[in-house]
Amino acid sequence: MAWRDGIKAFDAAIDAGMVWISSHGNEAFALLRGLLEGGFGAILWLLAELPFWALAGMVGALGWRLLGARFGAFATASLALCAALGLWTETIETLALVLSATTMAVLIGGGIGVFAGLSPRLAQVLDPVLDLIQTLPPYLYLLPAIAFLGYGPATAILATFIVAVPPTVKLTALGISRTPVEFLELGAASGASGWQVFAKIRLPFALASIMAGVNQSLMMAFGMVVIAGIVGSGGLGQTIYASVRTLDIARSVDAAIAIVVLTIVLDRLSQTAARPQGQQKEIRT
Amino acid sequence: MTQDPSEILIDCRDVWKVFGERAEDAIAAIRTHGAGKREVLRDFNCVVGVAEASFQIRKGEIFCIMGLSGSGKSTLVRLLNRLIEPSLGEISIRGRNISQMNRKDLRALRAHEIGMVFQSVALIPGRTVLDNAAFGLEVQGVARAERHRIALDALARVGLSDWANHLPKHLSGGMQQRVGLARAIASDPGIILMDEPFSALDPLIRRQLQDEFRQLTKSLGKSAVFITHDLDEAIRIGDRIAIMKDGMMIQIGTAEEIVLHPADAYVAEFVAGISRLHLVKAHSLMLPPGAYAGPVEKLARTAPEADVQALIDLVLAAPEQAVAIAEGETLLGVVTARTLLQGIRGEDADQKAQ
Amino acid sequence: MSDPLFSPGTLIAAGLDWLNTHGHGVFALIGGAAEAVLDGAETALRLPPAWAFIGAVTALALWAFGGRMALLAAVSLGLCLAAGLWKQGMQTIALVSVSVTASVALAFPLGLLAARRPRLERALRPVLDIMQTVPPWVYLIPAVMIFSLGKVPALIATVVYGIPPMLRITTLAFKEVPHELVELGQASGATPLQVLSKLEIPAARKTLLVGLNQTILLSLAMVVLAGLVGGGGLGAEVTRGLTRMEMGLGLRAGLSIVAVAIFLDRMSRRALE
Repeated sequence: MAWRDGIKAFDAAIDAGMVWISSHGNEAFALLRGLLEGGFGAILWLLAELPFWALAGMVGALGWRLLGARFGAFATASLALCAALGLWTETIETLALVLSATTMAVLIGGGIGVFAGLSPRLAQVLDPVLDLIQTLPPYLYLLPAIAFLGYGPATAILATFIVAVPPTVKLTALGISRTPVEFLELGAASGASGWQVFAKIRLPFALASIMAGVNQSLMMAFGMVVIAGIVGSGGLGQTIYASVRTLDIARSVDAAIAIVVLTIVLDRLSQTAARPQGQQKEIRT
Repeated sequence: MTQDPSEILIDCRDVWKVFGERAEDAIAAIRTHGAGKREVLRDFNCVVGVAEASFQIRKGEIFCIMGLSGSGKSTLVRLLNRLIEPSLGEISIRGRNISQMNRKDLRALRAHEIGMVFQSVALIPGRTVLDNAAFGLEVQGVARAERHRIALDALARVGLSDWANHLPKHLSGGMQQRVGLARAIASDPGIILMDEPFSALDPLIRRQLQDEFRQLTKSLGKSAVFITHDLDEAIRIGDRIAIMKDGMMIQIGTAEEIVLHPADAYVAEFVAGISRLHLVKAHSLMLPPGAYAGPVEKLARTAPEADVQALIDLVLAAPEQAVAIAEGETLLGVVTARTLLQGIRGEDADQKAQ
Repeated sequence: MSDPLFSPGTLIAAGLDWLNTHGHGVFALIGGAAEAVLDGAETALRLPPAWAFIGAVTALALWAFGGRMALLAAVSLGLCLAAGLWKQGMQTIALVSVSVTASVALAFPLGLLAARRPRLERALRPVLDIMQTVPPWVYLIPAVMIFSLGKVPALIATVVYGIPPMLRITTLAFKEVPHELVELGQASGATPLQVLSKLEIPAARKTLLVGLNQTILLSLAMVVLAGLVGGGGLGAEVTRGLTRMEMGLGLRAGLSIVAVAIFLDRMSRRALE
């Protein structure tokens, strides 16, 4: 069958292309990989230096401050549970992956979002791209990442970044572009410079929307990091992947419980941080 | 800066604003064959915001621009600090043409010379009242302690010094509008632009703020351009009033001039319901001294600026039912009960003569 | 990985063993039924030759939505065929279709009920909140525990995963219906069923279709992910590509998924207009 042969040839060509890329563009990819793993490593080191009770205590205190004593106790108990399940190393690996990918998404996505908010034409170009990213199954983004970066946390972070970036870009752009016109007039009529209008008027008005975007990006990142276990990201995702493949039900249930409690803690914390005055309604894209 | 009270702060000469891509063609058409609003929209897809606006505002003067929504008054006020670029014409502030200013000069002009108060107040929600009042100074780069001191002073002038550390959402609408005014005067500008600042307030609060605003502006010696859709408000506040319709200023004058001599039927309809008790003055009612039959010397005397309300009191108190109008020693005329009644009904000396 | 101090998973695994021995019949019945439905759908999709199927769908899209949608249908389905992944593509579409149908069948009445009963809505809200934030992986684990690896756990996980968005939007859609409209129906003497079918559903239609679109896309994401647990279809090919570093296969499968995703998204969105 000629078509089958064509497909085989196609696969062979892609494999050859991959070999060519890894031999020619290797330095660029090695650099990217180094950067991603360096950031991840630094965060992981920071988290790993702390004993689990110190981290659990800190998260608990933050939860207490933002959401009250009950939630503070819940947050501390959640992290303690992760440790009791024998998954502390995996938990902090997962947190480090989420934090590095989210930080990247917020810095880069926030920057792009600001420009998109100021330039309707850029927003017009970006919108279909972001929509497409959000339409496709997240699992897919592991493919290009692994093709260029190979197994390991760098691939997981890159794929997670792709999944996590659209909400921050969209909601930053939305917030920046929706400054009420009378406040822009106020800025102009007060003799403010372009930068002052941005920093003193546009940004404060956009903050709630940007933080809602950060919350969504964080949660998308969390979901993706767990999926990225298949590419050797480490963390809870890899534990689940390995234990499901071997049908180690006990282990996979433990890891799943850890993920669920972490989800709740992260979501509530970042959602509350996103609503400084407790007045912003939840915005979903 | 001179202290001459007749100094002209704002000078608008034949200013036009036409919205749309073919604004120039549209203006040419209006000028050459007097194309109307509809034709401009149909033929050029342009909207006339302001047409042929020419007026001057002197130092210390409160100039009210009155018109219904869509009359172009909000556009006009935004032309004065170039939030909107004029299509045609010249606007000078203290003799400097603002259309020719570069961005830096324009920013300086807005920061130091022209304050603005908005209909929606536009208080930034996350900032305290004090930081809102200090916004203009902050933008100018005034140090924190200094700008807080000045802003607190401005808040004191509007009676809100106790509220400095509250958030705007804790303030009532009238108080918020006072903060807006404090913010505008904090930079000590010569001119304050007021874009329908009181229109969203309750009638009682509105009257109170109108009086406070007039008093404050006069005591500080500021000039103000005050936009309103309410003729009562314009009369209460304004030294002079401009009536706008379809982008044109159809009449400019003092309240008395507008009420007594409306330029056209449109203005006449507006002023029909206005009480004349405080508007109409003796000099526009009085008869010439010769027209009074009795002995003028025995009559009580008053100034030509006395309004109808004061004249009624005087006439009722006088046994002759008349009062003489004099400037110093010079006798100008006589007001009788009859002339007063005619004045209240809306008939002045000119019409009577016809 | 250190030894756990305490492992609820061990208890649950033991409990599950017990369930599997004693309740085997029930699970086998559910699993068998699910498998039968899935196989039926897959067989139906693959009954006609690929070119005939593509032709028929294209013609249908042309008739219903016009030329651009017909082109999209032809290109996206043609891409699956050209990538040599027709069978897998049809498996994925079958899995998505069956699970979306099941999700909607379960979520719609529940969502409608929640719109009528504020107390039920309040009770459901925190559950839905958690279900919508928990990563999709977590849905696969209980499904695998009960039904082992294969298509059935993939279907079950996808159905459960698709319920929250559909339920939430159904509730929203019916709460948005203006009350006057319902009163109009009642005043005209319509039966509750008539009010629902003639007034409320048409008024809520747009929002309901938005929910359907979301549910389809989320279900597709889950079905693809279920390739990890032997769910078959295009997801399995992506998994193979990822784990064996067969990038050619991965690319073909990935592009086919992109085609299927865009096809399903645009078709369900066009139905909105």
